[in-house]
Amino acid sequence: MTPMTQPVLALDRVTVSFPVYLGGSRSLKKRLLSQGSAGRIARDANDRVIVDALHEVSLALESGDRLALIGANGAGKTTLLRVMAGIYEPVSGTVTVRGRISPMFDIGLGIDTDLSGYDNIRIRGLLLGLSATEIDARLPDIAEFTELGDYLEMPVRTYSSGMMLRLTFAVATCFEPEILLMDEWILAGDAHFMARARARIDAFVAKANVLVLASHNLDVCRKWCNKGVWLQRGEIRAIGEIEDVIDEYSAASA
Amino acid sequence: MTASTTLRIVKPHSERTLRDDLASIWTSRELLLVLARREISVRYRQAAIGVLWVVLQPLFTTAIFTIVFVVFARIPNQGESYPLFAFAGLAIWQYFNRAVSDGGNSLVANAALITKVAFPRLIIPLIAPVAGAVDCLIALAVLVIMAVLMGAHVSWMVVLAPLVILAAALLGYSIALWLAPLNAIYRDVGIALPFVMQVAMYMSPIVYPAALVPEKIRWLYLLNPIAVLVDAIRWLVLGTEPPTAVGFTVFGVLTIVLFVGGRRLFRNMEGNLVDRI
Repeated sequence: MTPMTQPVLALDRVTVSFPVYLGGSRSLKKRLLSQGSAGRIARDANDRVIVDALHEVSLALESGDRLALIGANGAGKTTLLRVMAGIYEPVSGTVTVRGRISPMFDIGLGIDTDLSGYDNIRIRGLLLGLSATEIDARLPDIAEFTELGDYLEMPVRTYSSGMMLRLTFAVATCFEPEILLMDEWILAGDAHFMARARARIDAFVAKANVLVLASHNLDVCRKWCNKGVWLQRGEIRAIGEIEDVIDEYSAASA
Repeated sequence: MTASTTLRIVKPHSERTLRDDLASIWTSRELLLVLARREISVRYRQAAIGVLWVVLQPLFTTAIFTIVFVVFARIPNQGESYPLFAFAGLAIWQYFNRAVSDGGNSLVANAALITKVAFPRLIIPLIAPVAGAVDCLIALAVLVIMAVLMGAHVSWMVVLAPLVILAAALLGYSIALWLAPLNAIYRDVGIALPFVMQVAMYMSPIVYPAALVPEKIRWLYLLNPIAVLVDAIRWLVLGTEPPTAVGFTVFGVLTIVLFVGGRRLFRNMEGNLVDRI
């Protein structure tokens, strides 16, 4: 419909920082903290310790882009995902999103065991920003995928663990993602679960217009992504084709 | 395929206007209603008599206060029957109390959602007043039935009673906007709240008439927004004296001030809450 010149997801000099409330014995804790964390640490006007989790991060993703976020623990991968999802707000800078964000940080998100399967599907859809009409249009398909039949009318707490798994998974993957944000561990879930769910996850990820994946596993990044960002201390150290970024990252950490 | 494509721009909260926020609440109304329905069904899920509790709670409380004030303390009769007088006050009070208390705890109670998915968090403290409105309407219906059975005159103005519920909801929401983020960081707020609400209840003419209060300090009740709510519901249903114009004005100004300030505090704090809740 619209020409593909506009980025689907754009970050313009986004900074996210958190005040850290340390309580007593501040100097010791501050010293320990400044050595233990990969983030940048500063102090604000009230002499609170401020951790810059992301510092002036700019990037633009277009339709079809599959971006891997690479970096050490604490480099800002999860923070970046969360700011894209709108869970964190930037302290400065702007996040522009064209389309619906599907965050996949927690498969069981929003599952309420006292509600029926149908109600759980509805809540999930509404949380993702779909309208009630859009959800109702998709309900028959979702119901078929779960193979739960009339059980979907029953409270989820009456389900067996196998049924629960099927529902949870169907709920997590039932609405086509436009912009899919994932943490690596979703792909590396427990083996039994993944064996059943592999095909569904693959199809789900393939359907996404844009994918952003935070991962430590470089093989996973190569397999799923065509672009990469290497984050270090909340700043972009390298951005570009996935192979180039991985080479640079591996060279630096070797 | 992407006909529903939406443009969303996330800016620092300092750059967002009240109008943006009101618009985001309106767009999330379907989600709000579903979350409120969940609240209602979860509340009475394992209760054998279910929704009957909505009626029994104010009825029992009314019975207790009737025994204490009429049978033991023998307070002077105000012209209307004490049970109707107390039930009307308790019905709106219990609604307001729930909007403030549950609303104040709402961010903590919904921590799992807040940290995992983005949606306008301003709707979270609204869940309690929306869900509670159903209970309050039922309680008011019971009040009207009681009044008719007891032979009291019911004013036609009773049809305006939902406006008092709306007013209580707005005031309760405005207060919850302050309490919810503060409670997320300092749990002291949630611990102190039941006690504070208890004090507020006895400082308002809910179970005793304002006429019992010494003349000298009675003007204080003009400044008490809870007294305005209670007087308004009695006026509309039982035809007693309406609240004064000063009372209405104080109520309106207070609600607006609390809402504007609460919305600002909520917005300033919500970004920092995610990791500290």
